[in-house]
Amino acid sequence: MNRFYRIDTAYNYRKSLYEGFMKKISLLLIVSFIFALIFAQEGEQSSFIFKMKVHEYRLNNGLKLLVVQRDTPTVSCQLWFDVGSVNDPEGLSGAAHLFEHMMFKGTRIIGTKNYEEEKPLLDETVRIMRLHDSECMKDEPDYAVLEALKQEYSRVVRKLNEIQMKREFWDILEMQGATEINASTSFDWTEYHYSLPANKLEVWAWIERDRLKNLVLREFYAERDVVLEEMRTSLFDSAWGRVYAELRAIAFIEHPYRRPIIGFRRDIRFADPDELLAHLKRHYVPMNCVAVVVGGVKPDEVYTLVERYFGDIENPSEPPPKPKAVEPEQNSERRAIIRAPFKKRLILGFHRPELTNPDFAPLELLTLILSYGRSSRLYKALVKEKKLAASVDCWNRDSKYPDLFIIRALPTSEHTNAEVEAAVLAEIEKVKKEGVTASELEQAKKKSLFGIASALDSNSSIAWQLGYYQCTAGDWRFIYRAEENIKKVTKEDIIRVANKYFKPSNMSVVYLEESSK
Amino acid sequence: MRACFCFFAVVALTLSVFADEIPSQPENINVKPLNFTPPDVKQEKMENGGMLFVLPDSEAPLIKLFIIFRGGSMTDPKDKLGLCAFSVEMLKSGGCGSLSPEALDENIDSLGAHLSFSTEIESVTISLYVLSEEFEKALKLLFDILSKPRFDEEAIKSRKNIWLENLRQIYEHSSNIAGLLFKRALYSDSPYANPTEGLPETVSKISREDIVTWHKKWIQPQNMYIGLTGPVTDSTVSLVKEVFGKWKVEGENEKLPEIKIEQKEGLRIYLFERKGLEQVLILVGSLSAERAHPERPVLDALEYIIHTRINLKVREESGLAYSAYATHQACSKAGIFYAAAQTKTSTAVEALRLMVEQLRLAKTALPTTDAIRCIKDHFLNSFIFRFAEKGRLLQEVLWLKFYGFADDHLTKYCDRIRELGPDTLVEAGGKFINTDALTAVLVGEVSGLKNDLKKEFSNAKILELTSFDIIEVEKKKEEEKKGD
Repeated sequence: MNRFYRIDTAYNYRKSLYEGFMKKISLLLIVSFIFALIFAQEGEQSSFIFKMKVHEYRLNNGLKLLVVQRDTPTVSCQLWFDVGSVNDPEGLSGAAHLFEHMMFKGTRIIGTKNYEEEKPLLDETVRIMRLHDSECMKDEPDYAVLEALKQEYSRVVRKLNEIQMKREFWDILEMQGATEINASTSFDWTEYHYSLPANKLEVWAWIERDRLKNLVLREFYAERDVVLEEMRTSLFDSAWGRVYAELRAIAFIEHPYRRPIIGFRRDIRFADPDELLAHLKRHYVPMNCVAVVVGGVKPDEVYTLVERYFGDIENPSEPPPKPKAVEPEQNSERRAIIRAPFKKRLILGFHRPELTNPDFAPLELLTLILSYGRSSRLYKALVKEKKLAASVDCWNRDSKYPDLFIIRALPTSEHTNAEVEAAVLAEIEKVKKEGVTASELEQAKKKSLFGIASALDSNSSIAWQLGYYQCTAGDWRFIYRAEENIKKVTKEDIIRVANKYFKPSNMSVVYLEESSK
Repeated sequence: MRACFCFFAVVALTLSVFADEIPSQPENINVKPLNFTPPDVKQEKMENGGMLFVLPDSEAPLIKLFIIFRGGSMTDPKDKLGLCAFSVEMLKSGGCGSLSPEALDENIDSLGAHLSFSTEIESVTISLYVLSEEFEKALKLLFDILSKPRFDEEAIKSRKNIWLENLRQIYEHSSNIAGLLFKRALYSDSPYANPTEGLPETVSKISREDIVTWHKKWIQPQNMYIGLTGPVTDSTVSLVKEVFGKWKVEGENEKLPEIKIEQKEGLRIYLFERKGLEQVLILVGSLSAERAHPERPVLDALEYIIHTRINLKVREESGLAYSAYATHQACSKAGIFYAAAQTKTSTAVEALRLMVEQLRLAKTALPTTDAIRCIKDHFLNSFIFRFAEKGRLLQEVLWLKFYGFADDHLTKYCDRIRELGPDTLVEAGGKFINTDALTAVLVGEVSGLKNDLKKEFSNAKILELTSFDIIEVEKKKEEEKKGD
């Protein structure tokens, strides 16, 4: 195993740091000036649930910092980027997710014995694999050519193995005591997180600065294969994975929510590192970034540290592009049937608005009234009384753009998808016509507020909520607003939104039928 | 004066620039010592024998109550596998006291809380997370659920049908199929091999009487460990003691079944065909040490290093799998050390080869000095996370006590890690992974892999399975051999 870092190979970088000494002095003056200008706001709204003080800062380059001080000896550190799979370029679906994988492969300093020596070999792998990919894309690829390229590629990789220090990124963090080292990509955002002993916060700043400034797409082609394996696990060999992907494919025509977060198979199979780097340079920039630090730290000290490490990272000349597509209104029901080696199941999706829309809270409460707990409407009717389904649930993902209200169910052996669908729609009709009771609404509100509270019980979960709302709703204070919005919902709101969104013309349905073995 | 001020300003500025210099390597970062004294978890034995562990956490938004009962799926009779898990389900679904099943559902939902019941091999766990103002109501309801269950006949019938439907779904997942086969292949017919949720044919046989008897045996106060954390006050603790402390003991302490496991020698590969899948799920490993083994810190370090090696070989270097790992899963008398990966059918044999190779290397490949340093630093520096969040610390202490770890397990843990050397880990590899008795389970479109497996592992016994009854299949195979 290649373990641990050397000092001498970083010489060039240290040297460049010294060469930039004069530049630093002027930078320091600018920083001091900015220091006087920055604003440090604190979350002061009153909340039944969220009582912690959030210290908010913004660096001159646009990077937002949120800090919560807690009485713990550890700290959770998260970097959120306002970029998700919706921002993936056409032809490179899955870019945000693939990039998330690449962020753990090291930099020009970490993960290599000598980057100057490694770089030409990395370029060589790209040259060979481009030839390989273009041969593969042919209708009738020449397998002899492919085999020769594969051999050539393996030869270069063997040389790279002698220079690269695999897993060094992980080793550094784990040696410092980091836990929960991971990242995730959604349709709307990407985040990178881990927790450290509170006295090691500077290690986080160092690592993240280095990743943002010096990232190297090392082991790109092996990781492309890893993502293809992940796709097999989560999409093709997963019953719900297949159904869910199909639902999005029929419900959305123009909006990028139609694509799986992990991407289309062909796009990943032939993904090119340079295209991915171009994507990185456009989106993974300070003005698109939120740093969240929660734990045993002092907010102003965190700010000073973040300013020192992230303050000189520059934005591109053009602001990161936002998705332009708007999903046209659906005007007729859409259906699909897929056959796969799994038990039958069905999913229904109704277009509904984004998280910040006033209709979102009543819809959120509807998910609870319909399917949370055994006395919920759908569970009671479908599972307990009619015995049509073994399970039923619905959810309303917090989304940045208009998305789907989803209901899914597993029919019992004796009943069909169509029977279950009819029963679901019958329950929805009841809500549309008769509304819900006062006690149902009160219970749903209680459950919803409980849900918010239960997500605030550790450094990492608090940090997650702040980053999540900042990227999805555009403001972390949405934690308060979500609570207020839920409290304000009336029975009339529930009837109104049910009638507005639960229409056949706004519905997409996918059945999975078990394929013969 | 002004010149003097300017001079000092320039000096101060220059010094601050040096102080602000970003270190060239993260190891050059100046780290201040961290002072932290973990809070004490108060432990108390109640009059009825139940144990109570309390750790207040005023910052937490919810009160969390955990209750663990000894028992679990290892207590299931062979013809009624799933009895414990299904009975636990019926605690929640069968009504209690004056509440019908329907009314109980409504009462639980009206709390707006999280109330979950889970069954493991050796335990039954109940978790209640609730806002402070609902705690008393929730606590009393939970007490009624546990001490006065009704187990209504009609509810049992109805819930059993749902359970059977869910079982069909559970056993269409490669991970559940492989997990059960792997347990059965290694733990043979010992109670540790019991499928927690049971099998359709065994759950069908469970009667109300079985459930009532199970409850009398296992859901008893003397068999109970309670953990309480969150914004709790003295009166909250008194309330818990008042409600659960007065629960009367009925009957004797039940004994857990004896564990006898026969180890099978050689490499055995079990193939389970699951048509239409793109990937094969692979589990490979051997019997290993029990959970509270005195050398547990060394075992944890071994797990870390083998995991790292397998992840490096199977995922990072070869791109064969998204998830490739090694882990140790243990019960009170025995455990399993294994590696797992999921890969496309065409690379399954190669992935298995790499995994077996790394497991075998555990007893010969000395970790480098750097690797030892990495392991030590990792364990020592991350140790604080076991105490950092009060909710987690409470659970840690509760489970260590429940599982019978030595009282000084945590205090001595770091000392043992500090003593680690390459030899210790290689010895541990030989001790905790039996490379002469490895078992592999492959689930997916595996029928076409047999020849490649024979070529790669010429000494392996390869068995094709169509059901979970491994013992029966092995018997038949032996008989066929004798017949030949």
